[in-house]
Amino acid sequence: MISPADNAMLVQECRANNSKAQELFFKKFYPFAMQTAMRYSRDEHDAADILSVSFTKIFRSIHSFDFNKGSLHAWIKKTVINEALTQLRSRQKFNHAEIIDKTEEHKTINPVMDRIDAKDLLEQLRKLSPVRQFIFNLYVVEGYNHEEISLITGIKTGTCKWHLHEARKELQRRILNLKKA
Amino acid sequence: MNTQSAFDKFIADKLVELPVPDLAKNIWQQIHTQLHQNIPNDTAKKISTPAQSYKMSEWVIIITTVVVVIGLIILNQKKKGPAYKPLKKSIPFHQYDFPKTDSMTIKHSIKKNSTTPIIDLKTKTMQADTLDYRPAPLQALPDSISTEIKNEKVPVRLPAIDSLKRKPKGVKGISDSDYQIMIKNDSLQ
Repeated sequence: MISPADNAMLVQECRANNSKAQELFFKKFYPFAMQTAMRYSRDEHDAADILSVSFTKIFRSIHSFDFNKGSLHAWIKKTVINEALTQLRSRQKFNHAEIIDKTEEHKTINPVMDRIDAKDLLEQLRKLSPVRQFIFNLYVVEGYNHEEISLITGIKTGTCKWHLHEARKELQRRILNLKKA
Repeated sequence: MNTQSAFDKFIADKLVELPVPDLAKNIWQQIHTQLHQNIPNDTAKKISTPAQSYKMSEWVIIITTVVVVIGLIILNQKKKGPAYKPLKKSIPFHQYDFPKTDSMTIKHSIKKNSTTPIIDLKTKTMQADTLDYRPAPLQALPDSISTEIKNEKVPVRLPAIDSLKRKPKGVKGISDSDYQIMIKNDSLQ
């Protein structure tokens, strides 16, 4: 019997193409992976597509995963983000706009904002342009810096900064409008 | 890691709280079918491999048969020795280069048994192109000699080339005696 707590054992069984182990593995990491996928997708169906492809890739390449090189969570998250990026690229090209470095600090949090629901926030996030949504997620949620985002997306650092700035501004405006309404 | 503002932290914290829809079963079914689809694909490849191997074996059989046939032909040719090449052009007799080396041994054997190849004397009168210089039949010879002769080229005593080639000298009506130097009577005096 495989214990879901034992990641190493689970991975070992998945490497042996054990279907039950694969199901167990998927169910264990589904909430975490789904949350990630939802942030990078336009809706739940998109997220489900990203997740199904990501996990198929994970099971196919699980033999190459090394526990010494990194955590399983990080590997799954990276795979999901990469798949989201691939799907985004297939849908549209990144807009390589001119660099307008207007980065400014958004230090203040409106008291209205504090009462916002996570679901509503995600809805507003999804209303941003896909590129801005992607960059905002990478910077704000995943904690990547602009150089890393530039490497991941292939967008210039300055353009990334500009997209992030615009995303913040737009999101703030949208949240405020939401609460006012 | 980047330096996050309060707004960024707030958003990040909120997004982590995001409720996850219960789509696990549907997604797992998709994943399972995708993973399962690959197995028939693999088996299909495995199934297709006999066909491929059949094609391969067919090629191998064809190539090996061709090689064997060519090998047999080469072996047969080697056993037979160099192939006889008939002369395409009829060489005039006076230009024909007869072998000299073999003649001695065969002459010797012929002398021993006191037999000579028979050549019709009438051939002298025949034209050089049409002469048949093949050796006389060796049936009369004993077996030991006949085998020896069979393996070698038989020399042929041919008429002198000059006799055939040479044309009568001089002009018609003038004999050799006409060219004789005669001593004049005056010189004797």
